[in-house]
Amino acid sequence: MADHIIDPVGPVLQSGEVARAVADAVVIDNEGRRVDIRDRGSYVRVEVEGGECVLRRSTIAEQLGRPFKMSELELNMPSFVGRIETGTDVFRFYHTFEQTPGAGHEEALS
Amino acid sequence: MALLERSQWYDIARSTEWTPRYVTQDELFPPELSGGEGLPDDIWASYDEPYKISYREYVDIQRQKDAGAYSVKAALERSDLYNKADPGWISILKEHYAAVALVEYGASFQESRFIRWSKAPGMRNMATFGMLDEIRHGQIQLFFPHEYVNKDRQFEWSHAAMWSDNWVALGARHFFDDVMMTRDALSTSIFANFSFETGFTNLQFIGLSGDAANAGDFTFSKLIQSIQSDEARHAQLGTPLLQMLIENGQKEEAQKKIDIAFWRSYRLFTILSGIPMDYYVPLEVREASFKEFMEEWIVTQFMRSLEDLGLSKPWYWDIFIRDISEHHHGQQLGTYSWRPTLWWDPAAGVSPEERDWLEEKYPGWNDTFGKVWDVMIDNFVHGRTEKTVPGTLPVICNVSQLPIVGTPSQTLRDISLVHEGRRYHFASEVDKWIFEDDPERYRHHKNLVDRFLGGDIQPADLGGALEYMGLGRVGPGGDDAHGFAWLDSYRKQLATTG
Repeated sequence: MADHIIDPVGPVLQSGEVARAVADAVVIDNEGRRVDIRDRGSYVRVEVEGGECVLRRSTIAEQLGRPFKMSELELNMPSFVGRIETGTDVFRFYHTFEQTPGAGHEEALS
Repeated sequence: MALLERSQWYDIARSTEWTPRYVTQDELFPPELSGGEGLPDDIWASYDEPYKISYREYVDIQRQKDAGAYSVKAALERSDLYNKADPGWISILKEHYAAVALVEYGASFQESRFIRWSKAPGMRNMATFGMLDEIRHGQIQLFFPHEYVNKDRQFEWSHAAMWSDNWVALGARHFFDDVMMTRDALSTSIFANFSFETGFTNLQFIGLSGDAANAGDFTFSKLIQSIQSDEARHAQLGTPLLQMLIENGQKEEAQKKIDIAFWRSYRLFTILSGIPMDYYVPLEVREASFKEFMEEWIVTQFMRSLEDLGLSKPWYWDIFIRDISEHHHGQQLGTYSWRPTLWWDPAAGVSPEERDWLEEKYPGWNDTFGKVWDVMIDNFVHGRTEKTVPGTLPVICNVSQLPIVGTPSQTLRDISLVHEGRRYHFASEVDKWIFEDDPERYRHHKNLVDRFLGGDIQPADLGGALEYMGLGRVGPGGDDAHGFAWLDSYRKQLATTG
C-alpha cells in the first residue's frame, strides 16, 4: 500500500465503453496529476490525486467519438469519491480538506 | 429554438419559497417534523444541492436506466440461472430482495417527507427526484424476483417478509423505522442519505455486483448498479445540511447523528452483506472478502468524506475496526444454526477449501469460529443432526434486534442495564450507548425473545415461534442451501482416519 495515491477523488463507474472513455478523458483533463484506474471487475475506480478531478463533456465526447451529455454520466456512475459539482459541460469531484501523506486510513488496510 | 443551459435558469426555478401570512413558520414547518432548531431562518434559502438535475434530464436518464436493466433481464431470462447457479447464490437473491424491496418503497415516504417538511427549497426539489428513485427501486426489486416465484416459493418472501414478524424482518424494520421514518427531516437526511446511502449501500449494491457478474448473474449485477446510480445522486441531500450544522455551532449534534446511524447501519449489513459475501458467494467467484469491501467502501471512502466535512471518526472506531473481522462470523453461526427461522436456505460455507480462504482473510478463524463449526460438523457426520439446531433461545440485542454474538471464549458477553424496572440487553457497548442516549425512543420495543418470554407467542415452543414468524405460513423456511453435500469431504476424512 506504500504506493497508494494521495487524496484520491473521482468517479466509480460501471465497467464498459463509457468507463473507458471517461478514464481516458480524466487523464487528458487532469494533466500533471497522477491518475489511477483501478479495475474491480464489474466497476472501475477512476482516481485523481490531490483532491480534485475535472471531467469535461467535450473530452468524453472526443474519446467516445459521439456526442455526450454530462447527465449521461449518471447512467454509469453508481458512486464517486469526493464532493461533486454538476455543470452542463463540466463535472468536478473535489475535497476541501487537504489530506497529508500518511494521514489516510492505510493502517486498517495493511 | 435553442434550450437554455440548466445553470442559466436553475436557481430561479428551484426557488419556491414564500412568506406565509395565515400561519406561522412553525405551523408551516413544525420543528418536530422539519428539524434544524437553532439554525438561522435565512439559512435555508442558501442550501445548495451538490448534485443538480432538471426534470427533463431526470426523465431522459431514468428511462435509459430502466431500459438497460429490463433489457438485460429479458435477454437472460431464458438462460435458466435458477437451475444453473450455485444454490448459495440463489440464497443471496432471496435474502436481498426480501430485505430490500419493501424498504425501498418505505424510502419513498422518507423522501416525500423531505418534499413537505424540509425548510430548504433546494432540498425539497431534489427530494422529489429521490422519491421517484425510491418508487422505482421498490417496483423493480419486486418485479425481478417474480420470475423465480414459480420455481421456488421462498421467493414469495420478496414481497412478504417486511409485513411479517420474522426476526430478521423485525431487526431490519426497527433499523429503518429508526433512521428513516421517525425523525425530523434534517436528522433523517443525515441518518439515511449521508450515513446509510453514501456509506453502506455501496457495499451491497456495488460490492456485490462484482460477485454477481462473476457468478454469471448479469441481471442482478446490472440491476443493483442501476439502483445505486440513483442513490449516488440523492444521497448528496445530507451533505449541505451537515455543513449548516457545523457552521452554526452544532458540530457535536451532527457527529452524534452520524455515530448512531453508522453503527446501526453497520450491524445490519453484517447480516445483509457480511454473511453472503464470506459464506454464500461460491468460493471461485469471490471478488473480495466482506472485510476488504468494508475497508474499500467504508474505512477509506466514507471516512474520507467525513473528514472532508471536518468531522471525526466515530468514538468507537477501535471497537468497529475489530468488529469487522468478527461480528458477521458470529451471525453466520447463529443464522445457520437457526436455519428453520430464515426465509432463505443458508449456505454453510465451511468446506475445507472455504475454511482455508476464511483463515487467509481472517487469521485465527480456525482457532475460534472454526472450533464451533468442528463440533457442528462432528455432529452432522455422526448423524446427530438434531444437535446442530440449538435447543435454547438466543439473547437478542434491544437496539439492533439481532442475536448477541462474539468470538467464542473471547468476546461473547451480554451487556445489560435496567431502565424503569425492565432489563435491556445489548450486543455491544455502542448499542448500549445508543439506548442510553435516547431511552424513550427504544424502551418500548419488544424483540422476538421478549415477545416469546412475555407470552405473546403461543404455543411457547419452536413450532409456535415459527408460526408467529410466518415460517411455513407466509412462505417456506430455510434449510442447508446445498442439501448438506459440503459434508461429503468431511465424511471421507472420517472414513480415512477412522
